Amino acid sequence: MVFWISVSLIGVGIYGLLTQKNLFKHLISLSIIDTAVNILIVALGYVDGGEAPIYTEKFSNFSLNNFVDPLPQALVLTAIVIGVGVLALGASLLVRIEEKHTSIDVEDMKGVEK
Amino acid sequence: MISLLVATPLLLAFLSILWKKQAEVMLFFAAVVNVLLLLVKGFPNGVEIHAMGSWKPPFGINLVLDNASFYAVLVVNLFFMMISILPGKMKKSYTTSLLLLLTAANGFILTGDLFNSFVFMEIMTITAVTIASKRDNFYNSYKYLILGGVAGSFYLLATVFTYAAAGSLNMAHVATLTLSSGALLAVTTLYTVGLGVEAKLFPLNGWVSGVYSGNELAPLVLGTSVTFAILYMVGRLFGTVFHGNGSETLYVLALITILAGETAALRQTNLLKTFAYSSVAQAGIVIAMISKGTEEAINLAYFHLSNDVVAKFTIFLVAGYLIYNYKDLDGVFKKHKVLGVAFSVASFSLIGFPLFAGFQSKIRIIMEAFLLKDYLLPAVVLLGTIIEIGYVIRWNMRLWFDEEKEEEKVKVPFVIGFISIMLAIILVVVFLNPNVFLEGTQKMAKAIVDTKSYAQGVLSIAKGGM
Repeated sequence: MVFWISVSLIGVGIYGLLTQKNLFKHLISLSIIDTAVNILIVALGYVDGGEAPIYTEKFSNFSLNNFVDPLPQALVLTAIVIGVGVLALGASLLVRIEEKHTSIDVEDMKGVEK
Repeated sequence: MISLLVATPLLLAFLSILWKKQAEVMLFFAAVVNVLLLLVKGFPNGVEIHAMGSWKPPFGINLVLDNASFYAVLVVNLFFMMISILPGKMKKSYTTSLLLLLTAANGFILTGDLFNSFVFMEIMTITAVTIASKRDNFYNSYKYLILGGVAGSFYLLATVFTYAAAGSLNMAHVATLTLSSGALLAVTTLYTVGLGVEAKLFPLNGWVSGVYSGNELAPLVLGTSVTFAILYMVGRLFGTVFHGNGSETLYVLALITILAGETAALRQTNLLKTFAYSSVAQAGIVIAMISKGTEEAINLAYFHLSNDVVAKFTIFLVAGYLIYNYKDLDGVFKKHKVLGVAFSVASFSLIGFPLFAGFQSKIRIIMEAFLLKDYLLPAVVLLGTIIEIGYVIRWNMRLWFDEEKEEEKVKVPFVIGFISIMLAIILVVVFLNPNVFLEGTQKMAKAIVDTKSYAQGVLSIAKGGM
């Protein structure tokens, strides 16, 4: 289920990148793709009724199968930080594009490529 | 020692923010220290690793130095060393980005962890985008960022699927596991898209012309060091980790890339754009040979890549400098004969003209393809070469023989003339003695196809301790 939600979100993101003319919407589409991938990673480590992967005395019914895999969560935190970095750089470039071309519309950028 | 290759430029990148006036010296220092470290060490005897935080593989992150990563990281650092001695005007305000890019490129090559390679690739993209924005080239940089961001997401997706299928992110560990055919198909396809943008693979190379023609620094950095790092990873992933699976898609896309790149180059009227598309085509040849999967094919792929990056550095250095100093380039080489000779040698090397390095790699690639009973690749390479001859001769005629415009002669810094002519001489030397590059590329190819040694070398530390 989560897999298909994630795939659908990636589709939405790609659709946005291909069809939207506003450059800011491209950034939003990229963010949607990022989020979709992150959801998939988190879902990968999910265990229904799972416990934190820390062994303590209080777990009388200790079972390895109950432990949640912590690696996907660690990965997703890093991926989020990187995603935010990319978005921040994209937003700063958009500001400079707007300053230089007084527009952030793809149609107005025709001929900008030297 | 291995971690120093990443740590030195990273530390200096931070320091360069604090001491801006010394930033240029820091870039030079980082590149020289890395090159010296590598030269003193020489090709490693087997596989050496640095286990970060003493986590034994397959756990934790490890940096791997074997013959393949050694050659790749040496090439990358040598190019950065040349960039670091270029006149300050050419890299003004971008030295911190260059230091971070050097960190990311070294880390990307050396890492033995799939997720870590994603992190380094993203840092590489971000820093490359800032460099691409030089001279207010914001829109083209933005396009590159968006495409790079999407590619990064696909690369991450591929990494996650690999983790789901193999239960490990360690490249050596994954290489020892047998993945189901479905998982392999999904993972290799996603990695093709993920690496395709930076590797300039068709149809993901739309950013190249705008970024390469936007300023004089971007093509020098992206067309040489970054290209080498990415194409190394294509070989490492598809050759070592996935045992050649998924290379059929790569091969088909590479053939289209060659023809699309050459055709687009022929249609250009801008010098930097022409050779930007030429870079696309050459990357296609390299990827096509990597996808063949044999040791000799991979050796020739990296031999051709070595020749190409030397030629491209010369071309972009000369063209990049002149294009921003003259309004019209017609007959410009009458004023700058040294630069003209270097440019002509490099451009004729690209088409594989006898006397220059490109001939050695192209003829060997064609003969190797015939030996492998592949007649399509030679046909495509020859067709591409014919197109290449068209635009190379056209540009040489224009730059050497067209009527000179009455523009005042610009004084070219000694460093630019020196580097360009030295690289041109290297291209002739490699034609006379191809072993200059072949000795390294042969070791590189052997290390890439020898999955067993790679995996044993990395994982043996789990038994033997630190």
